[in-house]
Amino acid sequence: MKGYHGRFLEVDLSLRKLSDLPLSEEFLKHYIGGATLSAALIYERLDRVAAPLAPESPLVFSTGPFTGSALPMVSRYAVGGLSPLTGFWGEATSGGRFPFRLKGSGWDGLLVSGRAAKPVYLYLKEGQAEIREAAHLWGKDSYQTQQIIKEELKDDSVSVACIGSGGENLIHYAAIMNDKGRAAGRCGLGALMGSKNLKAVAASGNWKPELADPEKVKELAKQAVAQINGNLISVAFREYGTMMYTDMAMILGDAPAKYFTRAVFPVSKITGQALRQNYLVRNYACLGCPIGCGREVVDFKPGLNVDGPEYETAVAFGPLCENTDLEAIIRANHLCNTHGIDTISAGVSVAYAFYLYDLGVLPKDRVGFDLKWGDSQAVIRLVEMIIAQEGIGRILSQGTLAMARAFDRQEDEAAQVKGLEMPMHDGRAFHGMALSYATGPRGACHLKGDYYNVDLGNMVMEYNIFPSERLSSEGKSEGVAKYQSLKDLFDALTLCKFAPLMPTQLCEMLNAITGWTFTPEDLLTAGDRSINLKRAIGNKLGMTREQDKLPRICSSPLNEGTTAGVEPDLPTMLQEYYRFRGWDWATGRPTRERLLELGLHQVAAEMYPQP
Amino acid sequence: MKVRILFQGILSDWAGVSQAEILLPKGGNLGDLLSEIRKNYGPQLPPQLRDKEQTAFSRAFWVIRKKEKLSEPGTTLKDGDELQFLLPLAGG
Repeated sequence: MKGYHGRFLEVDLSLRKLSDLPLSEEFLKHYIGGATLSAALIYERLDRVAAPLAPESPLVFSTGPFTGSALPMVSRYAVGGLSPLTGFWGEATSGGRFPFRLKGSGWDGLLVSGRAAKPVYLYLKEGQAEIREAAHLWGKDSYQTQQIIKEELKDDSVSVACIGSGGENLIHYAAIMNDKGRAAGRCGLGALMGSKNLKAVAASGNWKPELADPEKVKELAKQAVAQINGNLISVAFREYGTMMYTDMAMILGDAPAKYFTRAVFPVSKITGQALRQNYLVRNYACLGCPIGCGREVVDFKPGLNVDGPEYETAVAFGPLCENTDLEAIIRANHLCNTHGIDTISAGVSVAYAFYLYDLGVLPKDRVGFDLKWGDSQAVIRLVEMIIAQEGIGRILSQGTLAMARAFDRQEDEAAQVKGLEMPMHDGRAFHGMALSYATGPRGACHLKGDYYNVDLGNMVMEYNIFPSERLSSEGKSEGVAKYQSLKDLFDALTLCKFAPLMPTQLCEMLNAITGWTFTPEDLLTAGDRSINLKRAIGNKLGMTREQDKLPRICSSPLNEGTTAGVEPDLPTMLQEYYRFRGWDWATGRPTRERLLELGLHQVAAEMYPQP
Repeated sequence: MKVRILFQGILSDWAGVSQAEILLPKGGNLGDLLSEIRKNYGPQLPPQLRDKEQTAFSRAFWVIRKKEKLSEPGTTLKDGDELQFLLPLAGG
């Protein structure tokens, strides 16, 4: 087997038992790696799980065949498990150094179950693994935890993924943090670590699996770096970070404002340029990335460097709360990173609190202070209350769906899909995104796929995915489905979503690493298989077509901006999508035929028992 | 005739101005405007945006007049038109 170690480390924290979980080449060829491999391992164990935070609930950290290789933009890992926020399949990915170290430790990933009697962390290094006590780390924030572990291990190459108080307190959207402020943020998988008393995973080493054709990999890496560097978006990300899109997003009606009820808001103070003009900013890169989209704000306070906000964070704590105070956005972001909570779910929950207050539903005495739109200090105070589980913060920490239920509001008012809060690309501005959100494998997900990029002009010719009118719902569904499958593969391989690489290149890379003979069609089939497997997990947990929808708050036509009067035709797009995917309209499940076509025989047998 | 151009987002940083008035011959079109822009601001823009071919240059931008997205170089412009120039780059 080439490109993989062919084994996971299986950890039972209840029994304090560590063992190898061998993975066959056939299994890996089917599920590739990353989030897809996590889903395959979790599907096999799903019947034993009573609830996402139950001890038996598995948590999987996974790398992919690209991780650790010379290819650019591949230092990423995926975390998979059942989401405490949605109750369905949950996954999150992150970059940095940790993914290379995890693979360098001698395993392709980790499968963790059980619950330790006391806080622990895992230390993996070049084929050796141990469970170490972490009582002294419990209560420490994510930056402190990473630093203390590095110091006590006296291992310069170690990299740490950990939780802060968000995960310890089982906040439903707790994140897993690595390499300072990098976050596997969505779906609350940090709470799974907390529920297992697992404070951190420290990984170290440089074990690399053998490659099928190392010279070819080097050649492909060189070509890819040149291509990435020659791409305009690489230049833009390097110079301004992802916040470079903020003002353009507002012009396009893509950046939601005032809890999704407005499409026009002044954002000139919260752009990538504004960050650069007002602060000393350094950019940083994940290992092996020629772009470096990450921002570090130097001396934000004397002696304190903090991570700069991403676009999603800037809009969630900015326009969505009618806030133009960049300093407050940076502080809110830093609070979330320090204590390990997802900035998107936190920002949307905070904005919903402002909305409810405005309606008179959430009274001042329940909050403890006024919540006037745009009050940046109130934004920060609410984030602090979420983290501290204080007062109204406890309800906000459960997400918008729980908030709507707690305040006896229509669930259509909660800005989420299947319980996961809406990201900052408005489905009214890009109708393909509306469909993507409604059908995404983890709920409202802007990464599978980022279809706004297609309608901005980025085509995938090999799969006949072409740009079309962004404000039209016509003829979008097939492209959205294929693009979801392609982007799902990025998280299997594991590859950054910003890598402007096409399917033929990805096949060449995969084949040079593994010795396989994947074609672009095979690759798309693997992506389809992944999407259907995750859907089957959802179905097993009660997901039906009823949940494939957008809340009214995020789909009702607005009366301003470039999206005025526009509403995505989700019912029509959904019907076309179901037809293309081979999903059954009545049950919301993949048909038996579709599952068998994709080689998901076990899933088909369980979903459709034959007499 | 005069048309006003607005460089939005990072384009304004790269071009060095956020807006400008451009003089065009009466009946001038989008292609004429792009030539003027290339002449005046081309050197400041990243090489990925500069191109000898006018049509390729226009594809790098989104040009929006009110709510209409202009893409054909032959599109006629009018005196007093206000055109927004965006870079269709997004992510995050």
